[in-house]
Amino acid sequence: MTSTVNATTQAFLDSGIFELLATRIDVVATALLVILLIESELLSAYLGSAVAVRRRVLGVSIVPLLLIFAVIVFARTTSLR
Amino acid sequence: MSEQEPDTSSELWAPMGLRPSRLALAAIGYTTGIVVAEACVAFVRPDFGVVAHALILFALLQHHLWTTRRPIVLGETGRSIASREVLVALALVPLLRISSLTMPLPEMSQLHSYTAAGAPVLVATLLAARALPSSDLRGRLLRYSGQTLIALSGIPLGLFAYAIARPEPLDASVSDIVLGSVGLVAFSAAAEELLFRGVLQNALYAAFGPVGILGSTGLFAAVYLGVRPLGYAAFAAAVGVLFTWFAHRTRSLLGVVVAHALLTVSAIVIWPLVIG
Repeated sequence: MTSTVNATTQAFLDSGIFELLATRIDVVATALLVILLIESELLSAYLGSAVAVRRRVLGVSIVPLLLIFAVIVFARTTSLR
Repeated sequence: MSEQEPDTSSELWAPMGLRPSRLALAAIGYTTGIVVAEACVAFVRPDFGVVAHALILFALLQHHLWTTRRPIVLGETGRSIASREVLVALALVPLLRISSLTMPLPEMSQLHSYTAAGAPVLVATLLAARALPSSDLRGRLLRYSGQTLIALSGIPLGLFAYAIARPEPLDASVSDIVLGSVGLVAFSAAAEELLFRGVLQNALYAAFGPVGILGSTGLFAAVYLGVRPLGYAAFAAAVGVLFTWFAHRTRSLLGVVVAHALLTVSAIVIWPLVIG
């Protein structure tokens, strides 16, 4: 009933192919995070302090994606037990 | 176009509040792409939609980096600077969807899923507000004049929402319901309002005028395409228009945040327990 958790996300969680699709989505989110982290490091390495604003903008996506990544790792690790 | 030639394209676009800049056209393109990706998540396949969202998010960030490769020059209008900020604000919508499909886990209760999915969205919105000082979230949250009636509108709207969606009463302990409700207020209602009315609407209005407000309302409606019944999506779109108008008229976010919190908590937690 909200934009984040609704019938679509619930149907997705309950679906028989959740594991398969979730893995794909997790890979997409993780790949995006890795690319943005590399980009952020390259920016600071080559452009120095002039990129503070740009790194802050990249941080808008990097920090939430890091949170998401932490949850993915936690979920995958606990599912191994 | 030479300097002597009249800029007829500006005259054509001006009544709609748009400038015929590449950034304006790009913003329209990105907005359309986000709506299509949302439709893909809701009606086709969630993983295809997430790939589309990830590509749009990446493109938005690269576009912003490209536009800021040179410092702001003297004579550059406030609107053209604001157009750059739109790219950052739009990036929050793909992030919302990526979070909503990666964070909730099958073993999580419904109430805790709201917190899990909303936390990265709230973090991203607060970081975006810091990167875009013109959004002035703090100042607009502290402006409480004339906000009481707007805030109270959440109660009847919550009843309408319950009547349309008819959610099942929650099967959880009292402590879980209280904790979940707090999560619902902070990570769902507040996060959505700060994102759509706080950052996005502000950035789009500063760049494109009244058309920008239409854009933010359209995106708010689009992220509700996944709710069922579809009548609830239409209701959410109407509420989005109403809240947009409230926030724009009063230049405050306090009323709409409280109204959204009352709407969500009453529709999901209170009315199903009382009536259902």
